[in-house]
Amino acid sequence: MSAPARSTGVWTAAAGSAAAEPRETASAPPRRRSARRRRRWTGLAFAALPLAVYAVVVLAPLVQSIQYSFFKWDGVSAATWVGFDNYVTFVTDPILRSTFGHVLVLICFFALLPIVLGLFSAALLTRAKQPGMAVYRWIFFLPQVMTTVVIALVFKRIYAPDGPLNQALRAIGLDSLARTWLGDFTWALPALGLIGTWVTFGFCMVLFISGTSAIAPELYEAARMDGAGPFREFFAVTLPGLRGQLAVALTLTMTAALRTFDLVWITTHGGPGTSTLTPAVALYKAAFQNPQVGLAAAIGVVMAVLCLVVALVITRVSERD
Amino acid sequence: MISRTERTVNYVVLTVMAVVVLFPIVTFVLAALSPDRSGGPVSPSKFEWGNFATAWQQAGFGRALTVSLTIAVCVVIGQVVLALLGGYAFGVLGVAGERVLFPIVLLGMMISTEAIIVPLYYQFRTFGMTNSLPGIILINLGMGVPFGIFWMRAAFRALPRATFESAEIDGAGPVQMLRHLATPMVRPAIYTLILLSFMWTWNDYFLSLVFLHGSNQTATVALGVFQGKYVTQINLMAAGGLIVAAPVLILYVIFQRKFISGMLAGAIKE
Amino acid sequence: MATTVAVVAGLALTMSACAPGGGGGSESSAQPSSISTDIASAGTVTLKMTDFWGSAEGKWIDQAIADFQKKYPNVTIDRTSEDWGQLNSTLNLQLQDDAGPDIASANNGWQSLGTLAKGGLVVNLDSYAKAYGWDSKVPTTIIRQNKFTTDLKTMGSGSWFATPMARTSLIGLYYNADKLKKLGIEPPKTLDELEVDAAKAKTAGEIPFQYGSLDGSTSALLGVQAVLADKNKLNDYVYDVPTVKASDVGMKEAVETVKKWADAGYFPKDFAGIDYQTAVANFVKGQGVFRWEYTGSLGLSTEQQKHFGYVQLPQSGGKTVGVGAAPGAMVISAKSKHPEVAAAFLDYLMSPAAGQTAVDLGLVPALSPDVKVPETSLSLTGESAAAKTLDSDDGYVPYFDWSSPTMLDTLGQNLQLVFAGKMDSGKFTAAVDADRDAFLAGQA
Repeated sequence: MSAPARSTGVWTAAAGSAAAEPRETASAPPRRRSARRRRRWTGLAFAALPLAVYAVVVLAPLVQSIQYSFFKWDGVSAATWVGFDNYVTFVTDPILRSTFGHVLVLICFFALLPIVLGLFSAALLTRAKQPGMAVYRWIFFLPQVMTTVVIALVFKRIYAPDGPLNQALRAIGLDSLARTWLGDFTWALPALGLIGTWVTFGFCMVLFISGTSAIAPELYEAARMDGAGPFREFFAVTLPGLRGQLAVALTLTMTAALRTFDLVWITTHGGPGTSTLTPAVALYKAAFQNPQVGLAAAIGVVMAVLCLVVALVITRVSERD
Repeated sequence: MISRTERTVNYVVLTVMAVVVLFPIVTFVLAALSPDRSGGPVSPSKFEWGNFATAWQQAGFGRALTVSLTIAVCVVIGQVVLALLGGYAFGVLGVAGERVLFPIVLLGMMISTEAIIVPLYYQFRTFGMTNSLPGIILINLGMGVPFGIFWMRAAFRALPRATFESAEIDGAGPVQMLRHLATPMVRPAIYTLILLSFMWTWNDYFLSLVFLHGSNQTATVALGVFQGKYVTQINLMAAGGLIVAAPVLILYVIFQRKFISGMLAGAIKE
Repeated sequence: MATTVAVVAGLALTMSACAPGGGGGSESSAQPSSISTDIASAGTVTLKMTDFWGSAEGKWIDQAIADFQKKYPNVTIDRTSEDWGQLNSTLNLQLQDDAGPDIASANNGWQSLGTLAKGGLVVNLDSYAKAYGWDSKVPTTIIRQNKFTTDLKTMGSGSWFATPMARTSLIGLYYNADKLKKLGIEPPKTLDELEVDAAKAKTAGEIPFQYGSLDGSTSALLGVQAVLADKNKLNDYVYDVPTVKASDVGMKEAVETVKKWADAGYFPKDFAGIDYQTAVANFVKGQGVFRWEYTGSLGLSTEQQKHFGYVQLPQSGGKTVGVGAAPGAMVISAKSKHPEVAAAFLDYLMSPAAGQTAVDLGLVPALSPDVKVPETSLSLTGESAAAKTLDSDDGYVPYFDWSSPTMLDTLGQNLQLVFAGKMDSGKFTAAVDADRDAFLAGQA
C-alpha cells in the first residue's frame, strides 16, 4: 500500500480492494457532495468481497429456491411447472397453516421472555460491581455454547414422564401439575418454548451487558446524584442506551423463533399430532423426507419474506431519531 | 454505592436463576457418567468414567474434532475479515446502493439454511466443492456475512464521528483508518464476533450433515454415530456431547477475560 | 423494500427459463449388453460403499466385505458408515456426485428407493438378476419390495432396482421370558391368547405392553395389522393399487385394538410422553411383559438374549403373515464404473454364508434355510424361526409406510390423535387413504 499524501477531506482508495476506485485529479478540488459519493464507492469496494461470498452462498441459491417454488419437483427427476400451487398449498392446508400459530407462541418464548430476562439479569450484573458477577454471567451464557442436538436431548430427559421436572413437582406436592409435557397436546409447544428461553436469554444478556458498558458512566453518576434507585436508573439510563442492542436481540430471536428446527426435530418431530410443527420442520420434511422440493422452497420463501418484514420494521423503528 | 440489602437480594435472585440454568446441565453430566444406557443418574461411586473413552472411540472423535477445528478456525478468521470490511463500509463509509444492498444483507439473517440447502448443494457440486473442507468453509463464511456486517456495522456506528473526521484531516486513507484507528476501537465487538462465529460454526449440525461425508465428518455429526437406525445409547451420547462441547467451553473460559477487558476498554470517552 | 423485491423478482425471471431437475441422466434404462460374473478377471477394482449400519450390523457388513475381498483379492471395498437419517436425507445428492458411492444402502418405498430409481440414479438390475438367478433364490413377497415398473409409476412389479440381503427385519412380538414364567403363562400363540395374557399381566400389576408414543412409534399398530389383514390386499395397498382402501387391509381393526389396549391401561402410564428409545431401554431393563418391535432394535446382549423371546403371531386362518423386509435396499449407482463387480457383491450379501455371519453376530438371518442358530439365544431362535416360516410361507408384507413418502408421519401423527381421544378409527383410515391417494394422484 502506497498512499500518497492527499488533499484534505477526501477519502481515498488504497490497496487492491479498491482497484475500481476512480483516481482523483488534484486540479479539481471536489465538493462535499461528490466527496461523499466517492466515499460511498469506496465503501462498495470494501463491501465487495463479503457481498460476493454472500451472493454465491446465499443469494444465488435463494433465487433458485424461488424458482423451485413454482415447480413440482422430487429433487431428482424432471420438474413440472405448477405456478403458485405450492404457495396455495402452504396457505390452505390446515396443517401447514397451523404452523404460523405455533410460531407466534414460540416468539413469546424465544424472543420476548429472553429479552426481559436478559435485561433483568444484565441490569443486576452491571449495576452491582459485586464479586462473583463474572461467574453468574458465565453460567447464564453457558446454554448458548452447547449444540442444539445436545440441548434437545437434555430436555427430552427433563420433560420425560419420570424425568426431573415431574419428580420435582411431585416432591413438592403438585402431583396434579405433573404431565407428559412433550407428549401433551396442550403443553408440548410451551415446553419447547421454554427450552428456547433457557438457551436464548444468556445470549440477550451478553448483548445487553456489552451495550451497557458502552453507556457513559457519567450518565449513571448523574442519575445517582439525582437520587435514582435501581429501577429509575434502569429505565432512564440503561434502557434508552440499549436501543441498538435491543434491535439486534429482537431481530435475532424473532427470526430464530421462525426458523426453529433442530429443537423440534429432535424432541417431538412436530408431534403430538402436529401440535408443535413449525414452518422449518414442515420445510425439512418436504425437502428431505418427502421429495417435494417445490413445496419446501415455497415454505422457505414465505418464511424469508416474513423474516425480512420483521427485520425491516425493527430496524426502521430502532433507528428513528 | 448500593445498599447491603440490594446486594443480598441481587445474590439471591442471581443464584436462583443460576440454579435453574445449571439444573439441566447437571442432569446431563450425570447422564454422561451413568452406566445405564438410558442415562439414568447413579450415585457417585458407580460413575462410569469409561463412557468418555468409549464415546471417543466409537465416534472417532480424534479425527472428527480435527475436522471441526480446521473448519472453525478458518471460518473465524475469514469471518472477522469479511465482517470488518463489510461493517466498516456500511457503518462508516456508506455504500453506493446501500438502500438496496443493506436490506438484502439483512435478508440473509432471516433465511433458514433449509430454505436454500438443495440449490446450494447443486451449485457447490458444479464447483466440485461438495464433501470438501474449503467448500463447507466458504458456505459457513457466506452464511455468516449478514450477521458479521450487521454486528460490526452497529459497532462502528457507535464510535464517535469526530475521531474519523480528525483522522481524515490528518490525511489518513480509509484502509489505514480501518486498520489503525477503527479496528482497535471495536476490539470488544470483534471478540464477541469471534466467540459467536466459532461457536456457531463448531456447533453446526445441518450443513455438515448434508455436505460432509465419511472422513470429513464433524464432531457434531459424529455424535450421530450413537444414534443408529434403532439403538441410542444416551449415556454415551451425553459423554460424547460433553466431549464435543468441551472446546467451545474452554475457549469460552479463556475468552471471558478478554471479553470483559475488551468491553471495559471499549468504553471510549469522547 | 420494493426495490429489493423487484431485483429478486427480476433475477427469478431470468432463471425461470430452465426448469430444475434431471440431474441423474438416464443410464439406468440402458441394459448392459453382456453380464460378466467373472469377477476374478475384472482387474483391480475399488468400490466405494455407503451404508447406515452400526454396532452388530456394522460388524456384519465389515465381515461380509472381508470375506468377499478374500474371495476376490483384486477387489477392494471402501466402506463409509453414516447415520440412518443422514444417509436417507442425502443419498440422492451423493449418488449424483461423480465421486459418490458405487454401492449404497437405501430405504425401500417411494420416499427413498423410488425417488432414486425415478431419477435414474440407480442401476436397473434385471440382467444381473437373470445372471445370478435371484428370482429363484428370493421369495416373491421380498422380490416385490425391490421392484418398480420401468415407467416408474408403480412399485412391486417390473424391474429389479435393489436387492435384499441374507438378513431380515421383521415386526413381531417380544416377550420377557422371566416375567411370563413368574406370571405362569406360556408365550401366546394367537392374538386372542395375547389379549388374555395381557389382562393377566395387568391384574398382576405388570405393564402388559411396553410402548411410548412420543415420537409416533407405529410398530404396535403395524404388528397387529399384519395379524389381522389380508396378505394380498395389504401388499396391493402398498404397491399402489388404488381400489384397495385402508379399511380393506385391517387398519381400522388394528387402530381399534391398540386404542383398546391404551384405554385398558395396558401401556405404561404416561406413554404419550415416552419416546421410542426410552421405551426400548425400559423394556430391556425389565419393565413390561410384551413389546411389539422391529427385530434387531432391542440391542440385546448375548446374556439378555436368553431372557427375551420372540413370536410371530399367526393369523386366525393359521398362516403366518408378518411385516418384514431386508434391513436396507442395496443399490448400485448409475455412475459406478464397475457395476458388474458391485452386483457380484450384492449377490454375495444374499448368500447363505452371509446369513451365517449374521446369526453369528446375533442378527436375524434370511434366505438361508440351513443356518445354524445358537440354541442358547431365546430371542434369536424365535426370530430365525419366524423368518424361516415367512420365507417358506412367502408371507411377507411390506412396511405400510412405503405406500407414500408422507405415510410414516401420517400414521404417527394420527395415532397420537387417536390415543388422545381426538380421532376415531374411521377418521384414521380416511386420513391414511387421503395421504396415499394424494400421492397416487401426483404420480399419474
